[in-house]
Amino acid sequence: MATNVLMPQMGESINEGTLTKWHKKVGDKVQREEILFEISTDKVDTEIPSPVSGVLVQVLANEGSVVAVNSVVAVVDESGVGASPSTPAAKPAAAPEPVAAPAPAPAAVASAPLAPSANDAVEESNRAVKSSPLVRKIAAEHNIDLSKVAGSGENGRINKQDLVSYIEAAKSTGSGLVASAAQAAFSAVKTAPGAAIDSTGGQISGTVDGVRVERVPMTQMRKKIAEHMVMSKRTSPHVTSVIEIDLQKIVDLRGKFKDKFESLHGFKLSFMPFFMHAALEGIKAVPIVNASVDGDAILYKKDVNLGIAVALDWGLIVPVIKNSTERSFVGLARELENLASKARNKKLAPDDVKGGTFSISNFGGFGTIIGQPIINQPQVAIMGIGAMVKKPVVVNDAIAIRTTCHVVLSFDHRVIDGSDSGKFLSTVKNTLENWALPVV
Amino acid sequence: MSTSYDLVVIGSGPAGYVAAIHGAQSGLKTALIEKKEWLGGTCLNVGCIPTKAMLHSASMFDKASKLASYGVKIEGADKPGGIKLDFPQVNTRKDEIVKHVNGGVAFLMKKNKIDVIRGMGRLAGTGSVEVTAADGSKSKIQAKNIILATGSKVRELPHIKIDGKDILSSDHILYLDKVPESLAILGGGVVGSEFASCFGRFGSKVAIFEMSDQLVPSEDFETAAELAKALKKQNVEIFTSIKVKSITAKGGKVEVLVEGESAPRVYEKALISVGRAPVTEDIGLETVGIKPDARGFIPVDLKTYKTTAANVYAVGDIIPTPQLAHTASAEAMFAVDIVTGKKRSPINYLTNPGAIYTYPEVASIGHREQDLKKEGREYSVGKFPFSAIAKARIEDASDGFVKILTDKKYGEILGVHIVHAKATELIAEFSLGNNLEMTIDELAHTIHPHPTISETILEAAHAAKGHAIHI
Repeated sequence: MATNVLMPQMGESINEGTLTKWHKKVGDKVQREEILFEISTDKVDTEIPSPVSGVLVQVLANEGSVVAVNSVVAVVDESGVGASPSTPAAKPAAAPEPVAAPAPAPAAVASAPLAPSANDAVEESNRAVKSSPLVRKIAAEHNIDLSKVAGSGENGRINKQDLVSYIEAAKSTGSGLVASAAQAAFSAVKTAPGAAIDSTGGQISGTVDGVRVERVPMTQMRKKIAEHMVMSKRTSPHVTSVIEIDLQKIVDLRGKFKDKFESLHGFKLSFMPFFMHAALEGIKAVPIVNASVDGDAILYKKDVNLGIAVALDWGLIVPVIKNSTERSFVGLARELENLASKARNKKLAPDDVKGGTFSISNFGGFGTIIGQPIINQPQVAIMGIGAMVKKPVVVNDAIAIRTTCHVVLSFDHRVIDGSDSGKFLSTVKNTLENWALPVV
Repeated sequence: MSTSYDLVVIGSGPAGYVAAIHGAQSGLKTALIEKKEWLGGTCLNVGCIPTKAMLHSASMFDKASKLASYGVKIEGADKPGGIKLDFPQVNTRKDEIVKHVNGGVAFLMKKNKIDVIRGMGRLAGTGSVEVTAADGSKSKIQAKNIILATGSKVRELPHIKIDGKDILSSDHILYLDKVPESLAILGGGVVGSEFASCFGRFGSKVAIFEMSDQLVPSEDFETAAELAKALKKQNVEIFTSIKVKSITAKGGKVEVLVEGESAPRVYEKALISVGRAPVTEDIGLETVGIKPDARGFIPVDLKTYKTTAANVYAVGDIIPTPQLAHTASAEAMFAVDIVTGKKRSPINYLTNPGAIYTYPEVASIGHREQDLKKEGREYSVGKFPFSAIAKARIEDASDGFVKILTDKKYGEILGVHIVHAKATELIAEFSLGNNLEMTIDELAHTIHPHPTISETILEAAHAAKGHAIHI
């Protein structure tokens, strides 16, 4: 029996990924859970294991090609004899989000006309939707699943205008989770890609406005970050408030217990879990910071999934600690350690970056004391941590040297007011300055 | 007769009477108001139908002299004056056809239980239409929905007086009692070209004066050139980029003074064919607050054909869309569908065919090549002449070509231009295909019957893809 291996969906706004490396060749035996190929998406670089044991009988996407989520990239024959697969290319399963970002058709795939390609799978499913030949041609080129496109023609038939509008909309927003109002607002922005493309006349080096430049195309991840940042700024009126916190108690506590912690739990105790715990206390006191906007309604999230921004050499990723409030201090610390190491080793699973409800960004690493982080949509607030510095402070009317830092909250002023933010930050401050939780 | 209706249509042309029938068929209690004694509007009475009847006579007259070459011998036909045009019979046949089709429309009204109200219809405030009968008596009817379909009339020029005797409009030229020896035509658009082709073949010495730089200015430049070439063989002289200062009747002749010339050119008759103006005056628009644009057209929402007044729709020649009968009918049915709450996808005017009934005929759809060039679009041209097609030779109709303009990337059909004796029939393939958004690939892979004229379309499709088969 042949099993189709699909391009996995790596996060809610991910619609495609680049197949970066095959670990197996056609004809190779592969064990279940053995790495079959590697992919790189705008959020995650990861290795994909084979879902079954058998023989790799077909490879439908070449290295370097961009493949739509849920399209078939390989066929593994479980009978192990390498018989031809029963279904050459399955239809992509219905994904909850629109397949957006148009990607150039994978050239390598297109040049192998005899083998069914991942594109064929999309084309095949597109034939089942009411559309026109012209629409199917444009959709194939952009690798768009037409079942996601609304048709305005006779009996819901998708016509060229419908698809063109869809592509335009998809270009302007990366995330399917973003409220439609935000999408509408965002689709009004027309960047001028033409001007940028022409600036160096397609050359890698050139001169633009009298300045010598080198032209480097954005990676998928960088493109998505760019899109997401602009979209967030357009969606939410950002306000940032700042509070200064005396961390001496935390510094002392960590100094005292860090060796014991490491020997007990097998990993180093960083400061981040303290801030995470404080943020959770803040969310408990001010639930609106753990919400999102849905049209004219506010969705208060009963679960708190903390997203922690992790800087990578190649970009930025926000792994999510699910159900953070249900974890102990050590549990939080362990999950953070676990996700951060996965991120650095490109082992994050799609689930690891999904479903965040509140984010924390630590920008103090290089000594920055205050920052104004951008909200990770569709969330409504993000906490930022500045550098820890020793400062003379007034304690009981005497000057003392204390380790302090600035903590900021960027919030969406549509639904959060300054008083909410103040209450949140003061709760964070109180929690840290009067720490009462055992750390080991 | 009742005085309250679900739908009242003003005007009985191809917009109005079609709206009335479709409304009645959709279950609306419908009335149709017509000020003239005959139904069918311009198209049926002084437009499409009578002119095509005359043009067909012209074609037959033309063919008659060639009958011997097909092996059909008529005694005496080969002698000088053996084949004669019986112009009164041309008119009789034309009038009979008009009368017949006219009766057909009246029958359709009766069949669909539509109240035909004779008189001048005017909007009279929201939901109300006032009808002034021929005897001057006025009556008011109530209408839940009103469709304005009052059509168009011959456009006149301030400095040229149409007298209906020597200086004619298209309304008058249908009723000449003899073929004029010479005919000056001001305006080389659709109407001017058709009458040129008609009277030229009847034997008039025809001269077309066109202000713009090509004949049939709305068409592709190659179409214009091909048609000009053909018309010149039909006793037609064509002057483009020319300005006529005045046309005056003098002693049973017509003097045409061209700008930059001192002496007038003299013709027996002149036809003024400079377009058609919407009939939007004196129909009570002001009573519901509808303001026509500078050219007199009524602005509408092209997704519903709604005017700015509640429950008042406008379709056909009075709105700024192509002034064509089939376009008007399509808009009329669309508006009725909106009235009855049906969901419709808006009309795509790029799939709306244009048709000119000269010899050869001209039919087109979508963009012209000069427009694509101007827009800087990437396109391919597939052109194939009828002279390379066997059936065209058999039918002695080898003039013309099929020209298909396609988008380079996706093969979308951007424009089609056909010049041929049967061009207006051939274009229907593209009305359907383009409406369904076919690409050049589907067209090139569609099996066309052989031997036919329509094979030329297939060849042009292959040409657009790079390789025609039979040339």
